[in-house]
Amino acid sequence: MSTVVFESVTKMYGQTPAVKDLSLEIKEAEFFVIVGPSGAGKTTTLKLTAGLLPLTSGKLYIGGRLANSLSPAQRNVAMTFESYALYPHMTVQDNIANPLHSPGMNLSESQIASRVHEIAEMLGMGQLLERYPRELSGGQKQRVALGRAMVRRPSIFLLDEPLSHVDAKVRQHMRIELNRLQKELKTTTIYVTHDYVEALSLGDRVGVLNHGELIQVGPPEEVYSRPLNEFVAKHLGQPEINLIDVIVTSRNGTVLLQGAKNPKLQFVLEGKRAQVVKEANCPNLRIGIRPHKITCAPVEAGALIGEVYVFEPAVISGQLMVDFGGYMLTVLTKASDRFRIGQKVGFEVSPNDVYLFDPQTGKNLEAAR
Amino acid sequence: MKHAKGEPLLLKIVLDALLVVMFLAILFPFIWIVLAAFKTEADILAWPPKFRFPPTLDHFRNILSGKTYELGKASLQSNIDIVRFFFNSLIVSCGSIIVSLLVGVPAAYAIARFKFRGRENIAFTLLSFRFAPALMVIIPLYIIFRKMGLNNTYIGLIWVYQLITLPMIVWILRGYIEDISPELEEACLIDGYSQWRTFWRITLPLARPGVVAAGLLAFIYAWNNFLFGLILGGSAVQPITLGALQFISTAYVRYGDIAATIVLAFLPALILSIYSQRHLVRGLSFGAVKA
Repeated sequence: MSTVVFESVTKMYGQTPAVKDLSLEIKEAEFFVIVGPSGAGKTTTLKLTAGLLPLTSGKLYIGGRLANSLSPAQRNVAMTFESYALYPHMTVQDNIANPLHSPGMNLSESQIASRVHEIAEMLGMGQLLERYPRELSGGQKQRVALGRAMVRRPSIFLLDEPLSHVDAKVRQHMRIELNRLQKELKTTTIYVTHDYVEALSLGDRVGVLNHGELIQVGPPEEVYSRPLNEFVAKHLGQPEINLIDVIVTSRNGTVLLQGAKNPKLQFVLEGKRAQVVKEANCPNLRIGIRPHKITCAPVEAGALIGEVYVFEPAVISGQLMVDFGGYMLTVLTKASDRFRIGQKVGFEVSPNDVYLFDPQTGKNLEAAR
Repeated sequence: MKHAKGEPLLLKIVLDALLVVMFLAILFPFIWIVLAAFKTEADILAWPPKFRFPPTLDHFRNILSGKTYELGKASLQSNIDIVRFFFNSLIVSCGSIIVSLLVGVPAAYAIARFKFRGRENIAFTLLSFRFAPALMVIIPLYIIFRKMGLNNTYIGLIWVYQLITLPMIVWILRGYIEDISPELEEACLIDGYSQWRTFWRITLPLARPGVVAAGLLAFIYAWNNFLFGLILGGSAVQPITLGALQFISTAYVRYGDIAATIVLAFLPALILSIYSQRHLVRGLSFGAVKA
């Protein structure tokens, strides 16, 4: 019952489109994550769903019912805000109870109290009920906001960047809790974030949004490993994917890709992939290589040799910036590896780990059917 | 000795001296009236002015009883009822504030929250009532009031006082409401409340300090008004600011009673200002800083 369907939904702010022709179907009990940079239209999408903003055109169905002209109160959705939007003049208890006091609920005071306590127990904040929002930490505020959303048992959760303002340790913990809660409650959830780790670790499916356009929708592993275009590849993944402009040369059945700035950087594609490049008929390509797909090798054995620009050791894996004849490449290294600035270093990349993008459109050649 | 922010000592002295001069200039008439209220008629008119004198409460007794007045040896009857003027002030000022709040709070909310055609024009028109001189409109208003039978009525004065109180309340509250995050209201809408209930549940409680500040400030301005009562009100409804005028007649000017009336007149405003100083400063700066 609790599905959300967008049918060519467009939202204009004056002449500027905030959401462009969005068509999307979110399934019952699904944890759907919308990820994108700031200004991509993520929050607008949530507000359209909640009924806080009117649609400019298109249709929105909630639970199979046309919701275009329903008021927020009629939609039975709950939303948390990036700013938490806790009512500063109410205690935690009253904040959480607010939805239950609404005219549509018809609950007795004792029912309300027991529901509030149940939620407070669940989120581990029974001792905070008498406090005011200003007396809470960021993580606690977030819990209250979640509690207020959960207490009325809505058919849909809309979560707007719920973890962006809590510190790293709490974020990790809350992410796990959120995941578990959603699976327990089985409530359809639309979760908005700019953080790709959250997107990939929480979502049943992920939708990538940029400039109001939905670029790609799919399970996390698919969106990550088969990005439809350069933007998706760049946005999902930290450190960012390495992008290199290359010149294409065909040789019999194979295709040679050579760095435009440094011809020593070469990859040979064979078989089907070579065919794709030939069909695309581009003299130039932009290739993408994930930093963890580059492996360091001894200088003698390494096919490619560069010079260390900077090295950041870290406990799990180091991050190395290598100057390779005019290209600055980011490489994730083993935890035990150590490098000095200026040191020569060899590295290897398997041609299979190279993404091929059209330099004009940014499209992934292999993803375009 | 070190001075804050490294201001030269001389500059600091000059600035402080200027402040003292300004302070005295503003405070002098005030002190003078208070002193006059406690002087005998002879002491008031004495030259050089007396700063040490035996205080008397006669003037207060006179104006509050509204009966007798000693002028030399003669005892004159007076039917000037200052208490009544005082109550007129109270009725007109409170009435104006109540009407202004009823109209102004929703108006400020609409101007702060909703985008509609002519929003800024309406807001500016309201503000323009504050800087247009009242003298400009007083004659036409007088004619209109005569025709409508509104002169010398409380309703008429309360109505015309809206020119003073309404713009102030709308503009101060607009700034206040704009400072309240719209997301709080959105959250309440999603919680299942209508726009109207959300206003009562979230916006109004959060704007309460602003409502108090704007109300107090508007009250003080209304209380101090002189012109509207003078032209549009008769003695039955005139405020206390005009009460003092009653002691000036062709036969004599009763300076002491005037002074005592003025002291009584500014007492409520003074007490309110001191009591609500914190609110007022916030209210004023909210209204002033926000464009």
